[in-house]
Amino acid sequence: MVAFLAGNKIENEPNLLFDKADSSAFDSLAYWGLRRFGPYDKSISKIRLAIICPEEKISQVKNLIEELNKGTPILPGGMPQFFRCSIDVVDEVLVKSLDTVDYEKAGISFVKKNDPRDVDVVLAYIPKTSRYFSNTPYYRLKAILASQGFSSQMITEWTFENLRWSYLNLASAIFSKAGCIPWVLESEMRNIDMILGISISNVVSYRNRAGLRPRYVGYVNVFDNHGGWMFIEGTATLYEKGQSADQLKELLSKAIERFKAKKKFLPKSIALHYYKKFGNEEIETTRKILDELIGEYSVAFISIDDSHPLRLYDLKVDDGSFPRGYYAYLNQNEILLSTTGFTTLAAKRMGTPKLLHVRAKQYPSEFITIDEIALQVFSLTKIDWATVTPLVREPVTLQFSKEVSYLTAAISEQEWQSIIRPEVNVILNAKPWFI
Amino acid sequence: MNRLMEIENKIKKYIEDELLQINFEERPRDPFGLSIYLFFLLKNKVASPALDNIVDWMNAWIDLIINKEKISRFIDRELASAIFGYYALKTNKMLRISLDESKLIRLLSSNINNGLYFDNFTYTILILLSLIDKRSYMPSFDKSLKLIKDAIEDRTIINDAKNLVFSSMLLEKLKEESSLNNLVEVCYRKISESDIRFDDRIYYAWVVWHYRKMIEQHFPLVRDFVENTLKNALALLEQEETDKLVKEMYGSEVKVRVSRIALATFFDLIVEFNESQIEISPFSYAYIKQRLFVLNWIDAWKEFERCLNAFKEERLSDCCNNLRMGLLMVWKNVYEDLEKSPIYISPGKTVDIAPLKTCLKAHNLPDDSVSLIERTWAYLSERAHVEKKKILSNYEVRFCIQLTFSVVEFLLRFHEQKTRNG
Repeated sequence: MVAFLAGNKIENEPNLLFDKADSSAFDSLAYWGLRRFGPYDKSISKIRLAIICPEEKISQVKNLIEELNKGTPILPGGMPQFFRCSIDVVDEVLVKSLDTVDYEKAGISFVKKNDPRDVDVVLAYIPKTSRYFSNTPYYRLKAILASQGFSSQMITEWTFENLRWSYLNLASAIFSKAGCIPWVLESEMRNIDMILGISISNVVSYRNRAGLRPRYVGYVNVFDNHGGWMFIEGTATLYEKGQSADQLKELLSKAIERFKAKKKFLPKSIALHYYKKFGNEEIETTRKILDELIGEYSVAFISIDDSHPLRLYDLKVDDGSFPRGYYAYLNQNEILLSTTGFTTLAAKRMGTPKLLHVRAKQYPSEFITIDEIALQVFSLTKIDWATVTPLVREPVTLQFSKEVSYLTAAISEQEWQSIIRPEVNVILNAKPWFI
Repeated sequence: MNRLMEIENKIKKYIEDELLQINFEERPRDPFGLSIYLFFLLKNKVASPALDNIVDWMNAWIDLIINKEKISRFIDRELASAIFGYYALKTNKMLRISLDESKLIRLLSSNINNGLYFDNFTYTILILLSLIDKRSYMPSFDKSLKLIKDAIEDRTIINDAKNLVFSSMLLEKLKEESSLNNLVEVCYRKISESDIRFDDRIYYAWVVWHYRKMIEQHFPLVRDFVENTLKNALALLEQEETDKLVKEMYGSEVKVRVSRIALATFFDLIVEFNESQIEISPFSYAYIKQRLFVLNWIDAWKEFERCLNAFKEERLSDCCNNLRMGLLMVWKNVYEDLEKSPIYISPGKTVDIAPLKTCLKAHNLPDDSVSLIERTWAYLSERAHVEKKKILSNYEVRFCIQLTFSVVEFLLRFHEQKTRNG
């Protein structure tokens, strides 16, 4: 017996905007938009960058920066053309060995002598390690720097092995970590004011933890209806299992308050993106909090998950993949969306597409269709500022949450408390320091 | 038609075609770009159905956004476009609605932060420019202006090159000469250092051309820069050649996108630049040059070349002097060839053209022709006279050039005929 699934497709690739005051400066591809128009945010001319690096690698790192400033065949005109700014090296700290302990020492010595208001980004050369181990130069250095208000960009030997394709992603990451916006969506996402990439109950590292029981943090990445990342908010204190409702309330209150301060209106249509299915308790808690904070509102709980075994194919396409932007309805609130399948946009693709299973629950009633949700999730795959390639599988809401959760697992209790300190938070929360 | 005229027409057509395709019934996605188009089209006295459409739309738009406050989430671009559109229409006496000033001031007051409207320089500059006459009602006008001047002082203004054009317009209107001078200097320095990205060249070219009098001493370089920029600016509308691997990795450019602000600035600059050009019929030019070389009257040709350079560099009196010298050399040589005897003209003294006239008449040139040549000589002499140097207009000197080249061609053809027959 043959079973059929109905489907649909997103007609046009969403466009990206590359100038705050020029809405004709748009393109569907980040590379071409940056190359022609520069970044959305053209307010800075210099990025003050500090280097932390083993002595034997310093000349390699400096060459890399010179190339970023000067340009390469892939990045003609360099950062001055693509991001309308150049890099100024303001400090260098040399690391004695590739051991974690020496990176910790270098990080501590760096934060002691520098003020985070005088350094936009720290570029650190580290050995390549698995992201599943927490006691590595990557996590330890990132945590030490972030806890004092410094955002950092890590590079490894792998960066240099694929150097010509690394330049642009590196430039984009450095630019955004300096607090600037490389691009946003050209059109607003319909029927939505605010999107929250939420993550609660992330366990904090076992190192330097008080007591034996696991302790947790929560945080939320806030995006506007153009997909522009606005800020990150985290819970101020660590908590234990069973207290997540209080933490959720703290997170949502902070996010809504800051959103209102920045945008000058209270968000009335909110989407929450989460990589897991929302539980009834989480939904009820959130609704109570929104009742209290906003009163009249519409909220969509959207879970986006790729851990299912389902695959779709299209035999009419050369490589048989289910084309990018196509989706199949599983029911009226659920779809399987392809973001990395066949497309005429770019030839470079990543095997059989892993589809996104998107599920939505809306309250008090449906205010956004599943097709609009498909477009929303699809559009948000184009806003990951850490990569300029056109095919990104996950929406930035999940991507950024994932990055923070890897970090929290490696961060100590004291470091998290320090990141959340108002004087550090005020510097960090406007920069995607965790990507 | 020369190349620059062709480019001007192409750009104008591109803009008009684009405007004709817009459905003004719907809320436009780029009202700010449209207000910039409107401003520059009106400034250049364009008249077309496309312009009529946008004038009508802008009147309705100002009413909708400012008077009725029907604003979407894109308040920044909507309000800035309505204000700049108001300025464009008012300046050109095409404003057909009255503005509720109290609403305007209230809208602006609630959208300013630390002296910047919508946290953006471009919007701030154009809002100030548009509302100079309401300066006293705008409490943060001076604060905003100071931010702009500081950005010029510390050169951060160049981060976003379109702001060079808009801030220079603002400073000119405010008669802030010292800051304007500073800005023009900043632009010139970047040009002389050859440190300008292709996409930004049009904005730099606009500033240095518009305020070329401020950097008169560098005119040849400025002119070359502007001319090269204009000749190459059509590349803005073309697809860039790219490595195949780049296309595979980052995708192929599906459609060439072009900034409306860049295009409108380009159009304004090319119109102004073309007005300063002189076009001599290619036939006359080629004939005169060829004849003077055949006759080995190269000094006369050099004078004509000098005259054209002087015109391009806007040394108008020098231009007339070179024309006068060139004409005299040709006339004297014609005399000597026809009379087979030399004529002495003492340098520094008033030239006595009586023998030259007599010679032409003696060789049967009609009196009215001789009289026209004589009048041309007098007209040129009056404008080339160093002591009497007065301010010459561009069109006056244009007339001198056209007259002289016609007379020279006439003399050369007359000489050719006489010497062939004779």
